[in-house]
Amino acid sequence: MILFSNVTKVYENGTVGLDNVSFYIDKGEFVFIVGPSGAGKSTLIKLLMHEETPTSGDVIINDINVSRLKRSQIPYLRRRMGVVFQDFRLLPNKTVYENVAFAMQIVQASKRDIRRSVPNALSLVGLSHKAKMLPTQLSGGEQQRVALARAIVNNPAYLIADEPTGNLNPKTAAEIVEILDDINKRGTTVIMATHAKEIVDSMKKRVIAIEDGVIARDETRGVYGYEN
Amino acid sequence: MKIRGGRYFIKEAFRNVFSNGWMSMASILTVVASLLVFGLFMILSINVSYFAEQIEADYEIIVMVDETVGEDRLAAIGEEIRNIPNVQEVVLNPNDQRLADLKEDLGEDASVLDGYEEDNPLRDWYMVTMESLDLAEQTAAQLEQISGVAKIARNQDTINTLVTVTDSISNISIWVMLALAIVSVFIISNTIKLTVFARRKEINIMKFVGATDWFIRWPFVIEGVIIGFFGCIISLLILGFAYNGLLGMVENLGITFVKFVPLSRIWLTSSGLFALMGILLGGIGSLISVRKYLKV
Ligand SMILES: Nc1ncnc2c1ncn2[C@@H]1O[C@H](COP(=O)(O)OP(=O)(O)OP(=O)(O)O)[C@@H](O)[C@H]1O
Ligand SMILES: [Mg+2]
Repeated sequence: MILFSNVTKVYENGTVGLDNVSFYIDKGEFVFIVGPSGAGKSTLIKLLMHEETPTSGDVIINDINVSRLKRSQIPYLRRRMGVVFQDFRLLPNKTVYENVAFAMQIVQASKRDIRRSVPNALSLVGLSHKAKMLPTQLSGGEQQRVALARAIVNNPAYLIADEPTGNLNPKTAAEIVEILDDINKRGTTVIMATHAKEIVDSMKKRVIAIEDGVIARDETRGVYGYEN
Repeated sequence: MKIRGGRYFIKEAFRNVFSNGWMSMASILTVVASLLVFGLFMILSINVSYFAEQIEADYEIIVMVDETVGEDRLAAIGEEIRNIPNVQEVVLNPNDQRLADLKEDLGEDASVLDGYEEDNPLRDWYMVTMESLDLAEQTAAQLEQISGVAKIARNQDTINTLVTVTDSISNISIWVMLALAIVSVFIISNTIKLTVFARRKEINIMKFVGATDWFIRWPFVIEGVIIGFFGCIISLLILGFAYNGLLGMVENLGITFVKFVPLSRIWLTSSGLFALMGILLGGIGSLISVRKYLKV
């Protein structure tokens, strides 16, 4: 579970990213984070990842108060969370297979585990047949699927996505979200910040809307609610 | 750190070294340059202290024994001198011997000394060498205290100059070597910074996938060590050959008044020192350069 309790984030230059935000996300949920540009969606995700720390308030993940986490513990928190970004962030000189395996090498998984888990992850995102290709030989949607495979290969409890479909056309975007839905159905909690109106409206999942750093809506079966 | 990581780190490190081939080469050469200067100062200070050792070994204090002292007391004085801690060697130069030497020196004029054998006017001397010249002053005072010693003769000025010169040369050497170490760390860390910069995306990915700081650092640290190590090997070879050449030249020219430390006596320690320097400089240099990119 994830709990934000009166979380405020003020950046060093004085910009307010989030202002006294509280919410609770249960295990296994699928949550969209929506809101206008600059509202604080990425800030929320950075706080989850411990890329930033709250100025005040607490971020609690699985009974751990992340705001008070020791620096040496951060990697272990991140291993429980898979992340994908708008810009895919793949290593251009590694093949699809190696990009996914990389996430396992880094946590020092055994060769045997890597040989078993990487093909599984690739088949889940439907890319088994392109395992030997380089990212540059793939379409945007395919690259994002590699990033998804990498995010889930270590079996994280949470999958966190910051505008994962931002660079994709509507059809490809829908495919990515379908995969996210699959991942969610296998028990992984999914949190996705997005501007994709059609997707949010069609999925009928929980929607948390942020405006100017505060929560404007939190609906169990919500809609996007903004004109893009 | 699990062994499993070890091979990965070393592979990555070599990949870094070769993918930045020219930069690595350039920094190896700069490390070579500073290690060469480092080595020159090291050889200089080793030889200066070797030179000083030789002079110290030759340097004697003459203890002149009062002519009224009898045979037994003379022997006792020798024993007392030997008991002074800083004294290395004590050799008796008896007055008979000195008279004979004097005669020999005079050659044809030796006859002026005829008749003195029965009533020798010369004093018995003890020739005293010391372990450390730094303590010469103190040792001389102790020698003068011994009863039956008429006088001592020494050249404190020579000692003082020698001590000052060797001390200041080793001081300067230490500072120069320290400065060069800092310069090398700086050079290596700049090269590694390039690799780190080229791979900042990868580092960022490693961070959000949950790699520990040390997992990210190791390949760069090893890269620095490789650069430092190659720099050390090359400069050692150059220095070794150059020094050997110098020794050969000195021998050919028949120079005997200065003795250089033979290579066989210093190569092991120097190689060890250089390897240690190379590895430390490389390691520290890369630790410095990765730091910034780990703060995510
Ligand atoms: N590192 C930073 N330093 C200072 N201000 C920042 C920083 N990151 C974000 N901000 C500011 O914080 C506010 C929230 O930014 P955030 O990136 O969370 O918005 P967002 O909802 O993700 O927007 P978008 O939809 O455009 O991605 C903005 O005003 C932004 O300018
Ligand atoms: Mg954003």
